[in-house]
Amino acid sequence: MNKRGDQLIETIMFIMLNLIFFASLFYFVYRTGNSAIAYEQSYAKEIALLIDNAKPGTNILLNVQDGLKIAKDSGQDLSRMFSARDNKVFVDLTGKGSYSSAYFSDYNVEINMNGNGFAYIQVKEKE
Amino acid sequence: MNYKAKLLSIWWIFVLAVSGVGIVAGVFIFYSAELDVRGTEASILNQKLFDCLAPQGVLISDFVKDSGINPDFDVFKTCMLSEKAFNDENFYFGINFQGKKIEKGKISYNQDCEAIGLNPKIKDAEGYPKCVKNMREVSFSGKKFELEILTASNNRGNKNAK
Repeated sequence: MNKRGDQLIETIMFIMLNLIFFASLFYFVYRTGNSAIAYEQSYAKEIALLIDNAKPGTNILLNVQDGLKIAKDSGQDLSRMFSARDNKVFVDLTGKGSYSSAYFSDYNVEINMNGNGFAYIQVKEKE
Repeated sequence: MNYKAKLLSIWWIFVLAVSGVGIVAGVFIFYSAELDVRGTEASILNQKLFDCLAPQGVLISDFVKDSGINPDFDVFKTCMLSEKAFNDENFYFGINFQGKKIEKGKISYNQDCEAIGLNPKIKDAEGYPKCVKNMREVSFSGKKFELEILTASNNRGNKNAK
């Protein structure tokens, strides 16, 4: 009689521990997928490609809501998330160092956050 | 003999540990992998040069002199390209016209492209750029010519940039 009871407890423990283990793994995968470095690299390269593919006078709105969420969670100054200088795009979502990607076009580029989760990229001719 | 395997056994813990390590390692490798846009950059640069030098398939007059390339032609200024970006050796372009050539950027990419970058059998080679080569027929003063442009990018981005 006791053996049946032991087996039931063992089975329940087995299922619970498995659930805890796999839930932990899923949580780890989810957190890693939302990591800042992946978004910083993605945005930097995407913006550099957009600049190179654009002509002077082009204005681009880029949806960066996922990155904005990371920046807010990290307490990053939103005005410092994106910048362009020395022919490079810099993206810093955490305030701990940026990811940069170079572009080859000789333009004046300004990148600002527009307050709705979009980066406003202005491509202008150099004076 | 009646044998019932214990559910909570060392073997089970070992299997979980191995599968957990495998998943964690796989996720780290996946998310730390680099986004590679070099091929796209080389392609954009190639198209940009063609659009600049021969818009609508007609060569601009500044580019041509005595049936060859004008030696005073400033490709950076005319095509709005950054000389600094090419001096930083992330990019390369080579323009071939009537046996004359303009090359800017990391000059060794020319050979790297011929050997590796343009080889369709080689998908990726560590340290070598991604290359695009195009040859198009263009016209000037009613005559047809061939313009060949080779572009390369090895721009990998930089973590912890300042």
